Amino acid sequence: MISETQEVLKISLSGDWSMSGITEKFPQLVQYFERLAGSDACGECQAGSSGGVPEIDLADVTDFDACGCQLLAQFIRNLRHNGIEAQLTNISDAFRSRIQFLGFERELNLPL
Amino acid sequence: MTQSGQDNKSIDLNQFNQVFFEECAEHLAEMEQILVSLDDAGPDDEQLNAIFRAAHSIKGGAGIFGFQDMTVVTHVLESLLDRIRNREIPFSPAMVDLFLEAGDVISMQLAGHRDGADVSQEAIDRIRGKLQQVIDSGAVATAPEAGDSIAAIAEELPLQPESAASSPDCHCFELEFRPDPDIFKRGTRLESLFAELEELGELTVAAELPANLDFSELDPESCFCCWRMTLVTASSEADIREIFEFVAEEDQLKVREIWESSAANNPVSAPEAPAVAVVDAVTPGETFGQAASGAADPSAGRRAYDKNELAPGAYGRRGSEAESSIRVGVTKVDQLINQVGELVITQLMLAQTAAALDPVLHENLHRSLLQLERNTRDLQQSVMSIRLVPISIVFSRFPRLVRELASKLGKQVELKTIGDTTELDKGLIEKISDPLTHLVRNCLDHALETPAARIAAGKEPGGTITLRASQTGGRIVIDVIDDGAGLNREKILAKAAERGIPSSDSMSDEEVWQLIFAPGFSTAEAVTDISGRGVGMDVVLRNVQSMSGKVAIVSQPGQGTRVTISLPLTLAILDGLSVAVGDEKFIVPLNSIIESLQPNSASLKTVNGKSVVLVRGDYIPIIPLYELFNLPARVTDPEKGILVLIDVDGEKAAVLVDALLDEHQVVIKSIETNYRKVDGTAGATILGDGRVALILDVTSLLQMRNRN
Repeated sequence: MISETQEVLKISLSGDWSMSGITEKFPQLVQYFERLAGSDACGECQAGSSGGVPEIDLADVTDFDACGCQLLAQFIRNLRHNGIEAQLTNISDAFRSRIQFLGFERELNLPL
Repeated sequence: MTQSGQDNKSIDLNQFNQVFFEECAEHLAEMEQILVSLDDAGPDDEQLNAIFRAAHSIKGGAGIFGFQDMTVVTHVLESLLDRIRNREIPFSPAMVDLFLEAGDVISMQLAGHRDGADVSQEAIDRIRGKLQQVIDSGAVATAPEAGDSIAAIAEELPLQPESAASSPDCHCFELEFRPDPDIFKRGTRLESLFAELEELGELTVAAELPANLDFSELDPESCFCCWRMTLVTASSEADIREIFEFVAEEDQLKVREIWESSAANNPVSAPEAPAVAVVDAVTPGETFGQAASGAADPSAGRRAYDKNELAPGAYGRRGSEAESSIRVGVTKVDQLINQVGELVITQLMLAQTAAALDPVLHENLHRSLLQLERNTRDLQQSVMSIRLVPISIVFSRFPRLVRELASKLGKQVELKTIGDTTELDKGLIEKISDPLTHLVRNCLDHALETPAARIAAGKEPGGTITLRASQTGGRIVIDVIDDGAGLNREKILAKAAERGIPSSDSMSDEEVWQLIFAPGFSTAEAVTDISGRGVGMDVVLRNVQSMSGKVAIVSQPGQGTRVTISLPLTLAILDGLSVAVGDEKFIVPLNSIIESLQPNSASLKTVNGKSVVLVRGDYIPIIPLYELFNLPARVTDPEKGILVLIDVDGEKAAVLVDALLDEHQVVIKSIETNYRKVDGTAGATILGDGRVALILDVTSLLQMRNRN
């Protein structure tokens, strides 16, 4: 489930972000993208609690595969094209190594 | 997998083994068909890929089903084919023979597993050595070593170097993997794929996303990513491609060797930074390795047809076949045919019973029975068509035979096949194979001249053998045509006289040609291992006759010969005429009947104590059926009965019966299976009234008459 903090800039992802659950997650991610990428939302982003960088919290994500990685990476890339640099937070070691293994660390803005 | 397929008791693998055997045989046939069709220019990419796929599928299947020994030859064969495909070793025409020999050895191994046939380990070792020699002489540094044992090969397949970088033969490959958009939907786990790659050596992966993709419009289940990887490994490119074989199309995986640290330490190209530091975005049109090298690597990928595992053609399935056909055992089909035969008999019984009922009072019943008859007939035809198979199954074995024999005899021969899709009963297909082989061998050995002789005769140096099949009326006609020297009338007559076969100079050409069907007849000046022993044409005739078929010959000196075999469509049903003899009924095959007549006393004669009937100037012997079958007779005088004139390969006879009853399409039942062999019969059938009627074997009838 995707949730939003009061400041709107923290997006908490939860549940299954693998191929089997991605379709369910996608519509909400689109909504967030449209909100963040919109001019009003961008203003909010820039004034965010983490210095204008929206946070994508993976703490409650239970599964994460290449399909989920790809979607999230595309989400972040499209935000970047709209001038928004999002940052993943609360990445478990397992997910971090999987992201690296799949070669998404650069696209997901993970420190090498 | 080291456990034998037969030893696995957890599940019954036999049914799956059978599928493997059949598919393996098909792959071998396909491989052979392509190989023998090659000219000196060698195979094109598609043909090479097809041969490779066949070899690879056999190896894969053999591995899966536990026939590890079969992977030995296929593995080395596959390695060689892969190098040829990748232009690492040039193709040469001599390789065709080598590949054919390899196919033979694999066939031998297949027969060993399937039929328990003998397997020559010497032949296996020999072909493996030959294949390996070609690989080695191609100076391919990465050629896998063919071990001295099956175990060595089996262990070699999953290469797992502990430290690829420290290996003396180390390569750095750059890979670009642009998967099919449906790869996630198919359930392919890229994590597993990359893990397999990582087992080969040091792997670095970088995912790249397209630059301009509308986020809200994308399909979240679709793969739009591209992966660039560098792999430092001791493995070959073939090993890398093998990992991708079920997931990547040819254009979806590109592999380029960046450098190689061999003994000479000659880099293929200058070592460059791993492709981790990639460009910001990859556009679909961007070519792989563009920055590093202007020359694109033309290396071909594997399994171009494995685009979608759910689609026809995936995982080596033959596209349309996988979806549009199923494999069914012949016994099941025969069982179905038998049951439909019973249904036909039941329908006939009903019709016969209903015939006694008033057609006006029982109009609805009669109408329904007519409908039942139509439906039964349609059903019978549909079921019979299941047993029909294309004659290409037989024709496909001849290209290789012709190629090898022509080479052995120093002749130039082209084989043409026409009407490959003509269908005939599976039972006939099995029986026609030998006669056709005899005829084709004869064409090669005797009929077609050497190039020098042909040129001297004003012909092209290369001769032609044509196999032509067609359906004419209710029969299948197969022609074996050559443009050779034609039959030599004088030579045949001289040989016939020498062997004591009745003959004369006044015989027509057709009659002279028939002499070559005499047992032991041969005009060949030398007995070769190909033909010339005189055991060919009589075997041809006998086999064809056993299928209720006929053989005819047309020959022109200097122009060639045409041997025509005519066969019934099927052996399971027969058009026949039911006749009465005493209280019994018999079925006479319609295709052997010329006419029926009631003779007058003037036409009946006795010659050498035997009754004959004069029909249009010909004296035709009379065969009283009651005598042959020792039946109580009602009619013994031909004048009071009916004579059914039959023709068997030009020999005529008049069968004396009491009466003609009806024309039927009868279902042939084996009388031997249910009772015992009865001379003069080809089986039995059940009539509409439930009675059993014997089906006459007219050839056998004539033989019985001659004996008596």
